[in-house]
Amino acid sequence: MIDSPTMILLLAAVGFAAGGFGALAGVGGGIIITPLLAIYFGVPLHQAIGVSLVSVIATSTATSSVHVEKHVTNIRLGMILELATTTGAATAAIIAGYMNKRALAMLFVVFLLYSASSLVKRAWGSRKEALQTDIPSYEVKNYPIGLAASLGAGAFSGLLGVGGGVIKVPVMYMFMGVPLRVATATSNFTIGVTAATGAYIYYGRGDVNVGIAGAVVAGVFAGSLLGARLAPKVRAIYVLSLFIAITLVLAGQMIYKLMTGGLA
Amino acid sequence: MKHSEHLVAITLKYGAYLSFALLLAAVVLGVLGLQQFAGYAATAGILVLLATPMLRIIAALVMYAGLKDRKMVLVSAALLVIVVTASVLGVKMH
Repeated sequence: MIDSPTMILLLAAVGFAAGGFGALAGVGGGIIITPLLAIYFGVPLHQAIGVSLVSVIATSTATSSVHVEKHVTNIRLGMILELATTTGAATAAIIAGYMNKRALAMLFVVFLLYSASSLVKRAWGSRKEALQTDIPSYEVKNYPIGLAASLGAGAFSGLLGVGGGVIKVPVMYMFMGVPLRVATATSNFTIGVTAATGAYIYYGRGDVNVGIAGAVVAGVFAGSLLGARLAPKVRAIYVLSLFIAITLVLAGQMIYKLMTGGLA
Repeated sequence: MKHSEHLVAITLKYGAYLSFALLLAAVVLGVLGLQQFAGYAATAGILVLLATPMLRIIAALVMYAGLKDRKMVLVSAALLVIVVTASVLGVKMH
């Protein structure tokens, strides 16, 4: 565990913010944990990714039990896609161990910018979108496209410690005929197993600092639970806009750190 | 089918609760300066969290076996093989 009580509380606050914003915006908070830890806490990038992976498991575990109980998650589809996501995650987690931090950081910046653009589209679409309460009947199609996208999403998870929902959700929604609410719940269900597959490799390699992860993940749990309660009362467009701004600021900071050689 | 999904849901729910309780205890113990106990609690919490997704796959395997859904039993078993292989690789790296 970390020695300083202040540091423990700060790390828990980072997790709380990431978990809370993640639940409010309907995205995994993992995408902001890695840059926050690497930029502001001087945590080595590989270890920051390891902590983020464990946080993604926490977010998925805490929230997907609710979606499964409400029968929103398509477990069958999720488990078929997990065959690809876990294969991608395990392979990428091994490769990440051989990649230098600059290459990983550059890839992370690209992923942050892609995620920001994907969230802008979602925020724009959510302006007039009515809340989808009932799930329309649907038939899943185009499995090969879904499996290919899931392999890529899993690889990003293993490399960067993210959930990969920004890849899977649009593919399920646009190409596989899955309603958006089901796609989001199913993606959330799959990211736990996917992140765990990568996390086993990171843990074994010594890239999951238990002291840091313990404090951050405790915060993520608390933030996710509060965020999930507040989500129906908060307009998605405001939360998404704030999340986009945070993502862009972190991408900018990461580029600056890359140029000045400031990453640990 | 929908009733059977309860097994998967409770595996996730109790895994999350137990892990959260242990990690919260770790934070409180750490803030109180009891670093050694905080370390034990944090390690236990992280290990419970890492184990939960694997237990969820086993729960799904049991669920599909009960439903006699052979295709999904195979999918669950294959998934379990991938995840266990990754964990064995992790243990060997340790």
